[in-house]
Amino acid sequence: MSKPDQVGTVRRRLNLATGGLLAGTAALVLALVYGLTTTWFHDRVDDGLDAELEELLAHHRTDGASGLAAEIDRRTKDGSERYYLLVESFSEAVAGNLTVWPEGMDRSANGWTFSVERTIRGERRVRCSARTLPGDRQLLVGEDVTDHVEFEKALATALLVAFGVAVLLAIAGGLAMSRSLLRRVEDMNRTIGRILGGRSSERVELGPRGDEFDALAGRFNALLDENARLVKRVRGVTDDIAHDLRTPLARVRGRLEAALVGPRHAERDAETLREVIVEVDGILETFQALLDIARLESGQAGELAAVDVSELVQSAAELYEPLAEEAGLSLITEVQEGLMLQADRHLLAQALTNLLDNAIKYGQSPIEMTARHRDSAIEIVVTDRGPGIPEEDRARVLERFVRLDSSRQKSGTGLGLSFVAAVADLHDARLDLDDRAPGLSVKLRFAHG
Amino acid sequence: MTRAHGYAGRHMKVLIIEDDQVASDYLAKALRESGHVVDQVADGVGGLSRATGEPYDALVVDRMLPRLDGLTVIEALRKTGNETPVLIVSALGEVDERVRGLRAGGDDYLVKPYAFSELLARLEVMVKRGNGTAPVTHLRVADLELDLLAHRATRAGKTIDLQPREWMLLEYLMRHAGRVITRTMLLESVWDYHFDPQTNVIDVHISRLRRKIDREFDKPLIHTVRGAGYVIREQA
Repeated sequence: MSKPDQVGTVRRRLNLATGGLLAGTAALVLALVYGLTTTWFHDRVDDGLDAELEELLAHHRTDGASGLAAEIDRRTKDGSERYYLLVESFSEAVAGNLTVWPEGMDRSANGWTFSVERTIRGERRVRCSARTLPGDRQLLVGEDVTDHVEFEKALATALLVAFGVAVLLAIAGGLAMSRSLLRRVEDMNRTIGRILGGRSSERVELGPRGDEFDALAGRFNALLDENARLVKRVRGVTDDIAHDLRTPLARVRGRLEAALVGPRHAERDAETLREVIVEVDGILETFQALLDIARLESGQAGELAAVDVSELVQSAAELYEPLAEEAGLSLITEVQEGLMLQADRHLLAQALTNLLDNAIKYGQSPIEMTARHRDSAIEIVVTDRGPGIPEEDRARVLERFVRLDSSRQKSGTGLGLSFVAAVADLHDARLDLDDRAPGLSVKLRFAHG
Repeated sequence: MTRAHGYAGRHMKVLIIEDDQVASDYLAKALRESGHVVDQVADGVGGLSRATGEPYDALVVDRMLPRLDGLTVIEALRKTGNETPVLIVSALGEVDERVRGLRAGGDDYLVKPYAFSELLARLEVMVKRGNGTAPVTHLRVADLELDLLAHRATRAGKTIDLQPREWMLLEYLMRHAGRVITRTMLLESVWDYHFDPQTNVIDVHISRLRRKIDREFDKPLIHTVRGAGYVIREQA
């Protein structure tokens, strides 16, 4: 019995897992959006700055420092929105619209951002690129990215809010999903609890969707049905056994008691003892047959190996042929060559002899036994032209100890057909009883292999 | 119990290893009354030491024994090179148990409860099988002859036409001529069936055989031994 305090951990795990997964995914996506957006902006700015820097450097190469300074002045006068600064030794401003080299910035830098105080527009953020020139000169070009920065701040805020919402949704969604999943499980649990508690006819409810839970519920119900059937059968068997063993035992006791009460007479006593031995043998036979069937049904018996079915059927027919002849019945055998099966030879032989025995005991000429391939299966059929078995009795006769009224007087245990049925089950074979109008047909159909 | 059924067998020295004292005594008594010499031991260890210490013609060993179980006794015996024929007796009747018993070194396997006549018949056949090792080409009882090489049966010079199963039945009886053969033994040897069909299937086969080899001739050779089985021999 599992510990009851583990109940609820699946729900918790499910909640944590789905919630965590959703939140984690959201965080990842949002971070990605932020990262990609800002990177795109920065790259665009940097590309523009680098391009301008290259142009200015070209001027420096051809026209020297003074040419560069002139170019810078020209660009600023032409209305370029950018920031330029040419310095010597990081300190002396030579040209440009900035006055001082940004503190801490190296000679060669990309993407360095700093602040600048403008008279009208106030504090601006500038992103720049810088290069070192021969003669201990440094050149920088910068772009106003204040709007970008504002945008980035707004974006970050929005994304954080979105994340917060996502987390809430994740928690809510996780709870909802786990509840709906587990509710089916908890319902089933409760129903099963009731069934085990004694309401044995109740069954688990199936939903309308036919999903995995419904499949589980269906299977569970099938298990319960099978269990009920087994219980009923055991009850039936013990009743049968009680009757069919007790009756002959009572007879034995009666005979012995009667003999004991009477006078001693060697010959009569010997006769009584002989008769009692015969009865006891009958009881042992019944007992053995019951044991065999029980072992078969519980899966304890039967070892499968390659069996020559043709030979088996032929030899069974040969065994019973004289008996049939003596009973005035004809036994016709038709066996295809080379029929092989994975089977238990001993059990199969016994089943076949049971069928032949029945046919001779209850059937009429001609009795036919055939074995052949048919539709990728192997069929063994025993038929006769006797009274047959009425349709309403055909399922019953496979049960233990069932003897039709018409056959009550004949010898035997009444277990023959139930043995055959158990052997058929063991081999996953089909057993069919049919009417031959008149007569009975018993067919064993083994799937190939 | 009367002297059993006029067996042609010689006297055997038999060791019974069985812990059920009642069954052991009963069996010993019956065997002695059939003219055999019988020793009894009630546990596996004692049985093993007795069997290795003295020569016996046959052992009757129960599987369920105290101190050392029957199959282990037999295995140990075989390991020492002891080839004494062993008849295993057991309440475990399933075919796989029988196979286990024979694999352990047993020569035959009888399921409890058994008829004494069955045990005696099997014992005699088992002992005789252990003694004769030369391959036989001809079997003969009185004027009935079986030529195993030419696969021909003749009586008083006249050829008898036999179906395959009839031949196998006759051959088995004749190989153990003079010894009682039970119906189950015939079923096992000729059909390899190890269950009791509970009808007189074998009886009908025997009467057919009789019609072919006994009816037209002056002396019947196949005799019914009441409560036991059949025997083929010259005297009635």
